[in-house]
Amino acid sequence: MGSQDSKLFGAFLLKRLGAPSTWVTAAVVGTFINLYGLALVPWLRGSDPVTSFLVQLEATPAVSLLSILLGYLFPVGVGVYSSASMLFATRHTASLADFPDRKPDPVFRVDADGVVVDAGRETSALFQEHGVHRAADILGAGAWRQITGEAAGTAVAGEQMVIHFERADRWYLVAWARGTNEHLNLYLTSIAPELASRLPESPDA
Amino acid sequence: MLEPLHEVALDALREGFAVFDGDGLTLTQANKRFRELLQLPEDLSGLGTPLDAIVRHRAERGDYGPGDPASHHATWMARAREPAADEHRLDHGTLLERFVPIPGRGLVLTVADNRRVHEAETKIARMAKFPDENPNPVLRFDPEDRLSYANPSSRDLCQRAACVQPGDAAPAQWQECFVRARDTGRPVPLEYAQAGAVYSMLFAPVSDTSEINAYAFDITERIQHQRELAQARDAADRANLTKSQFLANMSHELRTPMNAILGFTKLVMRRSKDVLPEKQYNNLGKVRVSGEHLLALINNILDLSKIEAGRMEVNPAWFDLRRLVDLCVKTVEPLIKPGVELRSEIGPEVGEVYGDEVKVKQILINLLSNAAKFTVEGSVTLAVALDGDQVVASVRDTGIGIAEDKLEKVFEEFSQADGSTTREYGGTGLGLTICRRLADLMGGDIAVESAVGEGSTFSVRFPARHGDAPERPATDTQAAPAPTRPEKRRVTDRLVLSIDDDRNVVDLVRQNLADAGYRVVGAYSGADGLKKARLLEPHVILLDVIMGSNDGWQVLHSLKTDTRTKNIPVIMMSIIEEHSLAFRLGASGYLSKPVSRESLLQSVENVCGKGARVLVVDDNPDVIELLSQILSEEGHTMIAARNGEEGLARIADSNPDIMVLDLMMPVLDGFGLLERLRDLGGHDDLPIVILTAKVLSGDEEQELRRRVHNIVTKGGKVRQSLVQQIEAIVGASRAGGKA
Repeated sequence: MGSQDSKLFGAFLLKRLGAPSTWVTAAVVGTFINLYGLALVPWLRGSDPVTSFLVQLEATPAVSLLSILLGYLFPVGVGVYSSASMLFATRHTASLADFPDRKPDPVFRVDADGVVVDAGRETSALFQEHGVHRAADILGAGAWRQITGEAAGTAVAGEQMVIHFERADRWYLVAWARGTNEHLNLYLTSIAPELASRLPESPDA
Repeated sequence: MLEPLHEVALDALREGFAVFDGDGLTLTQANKRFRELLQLPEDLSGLGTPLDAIVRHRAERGDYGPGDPASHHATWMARAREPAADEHRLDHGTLLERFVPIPGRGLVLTVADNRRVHEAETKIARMAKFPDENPNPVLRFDPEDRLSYANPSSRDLCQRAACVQPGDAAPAQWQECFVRARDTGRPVPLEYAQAGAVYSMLFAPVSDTSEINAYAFDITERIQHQRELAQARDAADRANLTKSQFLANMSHELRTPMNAILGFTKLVMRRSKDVLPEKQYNNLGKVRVSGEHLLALINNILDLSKIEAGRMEVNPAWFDLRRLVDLCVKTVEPLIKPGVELRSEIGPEVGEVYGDEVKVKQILINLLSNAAKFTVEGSVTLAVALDGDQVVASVRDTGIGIAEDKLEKVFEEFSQADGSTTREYGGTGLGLTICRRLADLMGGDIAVESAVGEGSTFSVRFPARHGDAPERPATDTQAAPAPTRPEKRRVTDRLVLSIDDDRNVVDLVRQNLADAGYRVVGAYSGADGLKKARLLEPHVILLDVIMGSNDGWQVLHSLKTDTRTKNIPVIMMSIIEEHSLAFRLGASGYLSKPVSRESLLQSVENVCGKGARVLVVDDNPDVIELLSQILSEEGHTMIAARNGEEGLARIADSNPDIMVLDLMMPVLDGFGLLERLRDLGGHDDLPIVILTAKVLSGDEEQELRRRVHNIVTKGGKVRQSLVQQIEAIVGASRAGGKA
């Protein structure tokens, strides 16, 4: 955990500890835990719960009181941990979400009809500049057919093809991957025309 | 009821707001926004509605998510009875609800529209999937160059780079790229090879956090493929070189004997026509025809191979296109069938062009030969014009024509329009293929239009100025294709005896022929003419028919019966038309007065314009023997040398007018001889014609063309080419001599 993460976690801990709901939850859940340990278990064993508790308290007063305290603290710990996990998961998600915006080359997601539904910032600007919003406009109709055909059938992860984005007069190496909801992710990497001439081209390139 | 002010204030809130009061938790206050956001039916949105009914309706509607509505109802009512001011996301995250307790009374339910936040969060979640779902490796490194994220496809790359767990340091090679990326603010590419795999990587800086995003794709197979391609290309290059060397050797080995076979066959046919039985003469004719066909095939295959091997180069130079057209027409004249007219139409704008004269000539002769072959009546026309910066040369014929569906086929290798065409008309089926390739090579093209039974038009188009044409040298002469070629030397002057009783005629002849380098002696009577003929033994005699005391027929008879003068060619000049008589009496030519300078010169040259001393340097005795006979027939004297050393000696002691030089010889080859000559100096004016079977490289050809008059390929029409070259040199020498 980095220093930034540590600071964030500290602030988050203070906030949770200051929230009344934390302690209400601790009181309710802790009481159940302690009742289970101090009363229900002795009763199931055929002892008198009160007598058993008094005997235990007399024999090991510190341990008994600590046990009761831990019963109340445990839900606090669990609550803080689960909330912190969710927080860091959210941060991680937010962190990953900026990858498409940071990628120097186009990255976008299209629906089953080939309409762009998500795109990185630079990609959106590029497509807007050239007035395109469908995969076939960007990749070429033949390449789009080939990709969708292969993606639906025998697509190999990491398989790539070279396309020429006519409107921007740029050569790209295209990789694709099936996403959720019948969506298809397309990852473009710009390549020099000289390299493009040495690689297998799409039907349109 | 609320006071109007309070009601207005509550309705102005962006959040939904409702108060549930009393033990039954019934709705006592609610603003418009509350009803809008919850979209409650009429019967559940009025004051006095129990919270229980609203919660039950929403549970059944699914606002609390999937599952048992009764269970949801119980859970949410429990929350309402013990409100903890916690926020709850409802309706798939689009609503944010909170129960706020009112101490001792009831509760307040606030509802906020969370749709925008929800959409943003959904978008973030979707965008976050991009790197994880990328089939290629995606990595992120923190400002301390430690791995902070790696997508599932990165496993192999990370293991190879020993950078697997978050917190692992990036390899040093990557860190160098990180530094550059951060310094420049631009992505830095890297081809990363490790443990048998090669990745193309791109390190992109994240400006606001100093992190580095790395994108990679595995190019191992691609690199391997490229390596294999390079190896295959190298192997192909080596094979091509071997093929080229083989072709060069084969060219020499095939053309040399074919040269001898054809040359001697023609000689025997010419000299023994009256001696050989007709059948044997016809058999020789078959040998000649088959040999010529085989030679054409060999030449075409070698040309095509040279083009395909990329060894055919364009050697541009300034040349006179008009002169070339005339030459081509003259060359194919013997092939034109009787009754067919051969014409040339040259546009007035056509003049000098900068291109490869040899290739243009090859194309035009090929097209004209085809036209001549397939035309039995009508005409064959070569039309040349300029179209912008392009030369368009069209060969039109009125021959058999080509069907439309066969038009493109004629340019295919070993293909003629019809299989039967080859059987009927002959040909290799390569000529037009080569023409198209040559036209392509020169940056032009060739096209055909045709109609069966009407004829064909083949049009070749090529740039009038190939590439970056230099300015035409001001001193360049039309007869000199190569700008730095040595000046022509003057061939020994020829003596002409003009016998005519009209002094004006003799003077005219003198003036006309003197211009061309001839020395003219006049005789003004038959007796004077006979006397001077015996005394001077001129190279040619021009004889008038009608003279005072002794007419021309008597003089001719006397000349042809005198052993000293019988071999001197005589050209009769008269106003009467007695050609048959003249030739029966032994005249070599006949000119009808008035005689033009051109026809006079042509006739004189026809009978005595040759006779140059030709040094032939060749190691092949068959070639020497053949050339000896050819040159002798053409009236030249041949001096032979069997290698370069002997050639140098003959140049020194025999002072030849022209040298015919082979290139591949023992002791000292042709290139060595030329080099020695240059070193010796003093022979720059010796015209040299290269006669070789060697396939020359572009450089060799270009170098030779700077130093020699022309290059004749063995196995081609040697006799015709060589004789033309020698005549051109002699003619130019005479023309130069007057200056």
